[in-house]
Amino acid sequence: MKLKKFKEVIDNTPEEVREYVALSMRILDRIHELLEKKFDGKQKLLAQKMGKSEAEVSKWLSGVQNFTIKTITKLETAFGERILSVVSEDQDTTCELVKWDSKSRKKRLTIGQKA
Amino acid sequence: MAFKKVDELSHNVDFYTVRLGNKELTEFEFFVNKDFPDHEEEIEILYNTIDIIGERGAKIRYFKSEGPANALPKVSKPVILSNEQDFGIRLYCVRLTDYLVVLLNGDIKTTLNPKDCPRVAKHFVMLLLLHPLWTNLEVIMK
Repeated sequence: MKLKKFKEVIDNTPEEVREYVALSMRILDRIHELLEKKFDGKQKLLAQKMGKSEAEVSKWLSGVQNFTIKTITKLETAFGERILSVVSEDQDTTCELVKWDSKSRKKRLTIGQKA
Repeated sequence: MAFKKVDELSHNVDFYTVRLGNKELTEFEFFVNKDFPDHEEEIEILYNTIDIIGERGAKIRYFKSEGPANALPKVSKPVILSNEQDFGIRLYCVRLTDYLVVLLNGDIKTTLNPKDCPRVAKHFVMLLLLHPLWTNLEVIMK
């Protein structure tokens, strides 16, 4: 099949564009996971909780979106759960302990209950 | 009309396209061979979306619905609005299951209603004409 141009585009896509698409899709999956968990998969119930029209909420629930922090926060508030988490050098919220075994040169991770 | 599997893209998801009549290329090949100057970012998003769908599955939320038709990409307004004179690129397709998608043809959509657009109308209408076939296929697969 003559898909040379398709492959060229994929190969030459800047990494940040590829990551933008992948992250958008992961966020979308998480939103749908929470929609199912908290509102029985019903957009109408989410819209009611947010005080928005169903059409307005619907546009956030499909496609590659450029979510603003404000929109993410509104959705997180409505769901009562996190969609995104922020990584910090000071505190890892999922791992309680990271030990460096200098002899074996292996890192040892102890996964906390949160994880 | 003959179905042809797009082997290059089919990993966790099987992508098919169609060859109409005696045409030399499939509908998806016709689309890929088009040039879209001033829409480079959209094309990057579109092709990478297809590529990632191939890994993650063809979940319905990744597609834009235009009546009974599915279309890609569904990209955010800021990207589409960077080209003020049109509504962005549409690649018409049929998402049958999480693991089966038929990619067709498309172009730049220049009017709100795809039937009024001189560039996408023929692709959109073709998909509508084929719609009963997809419906029957869905029934068979269920």
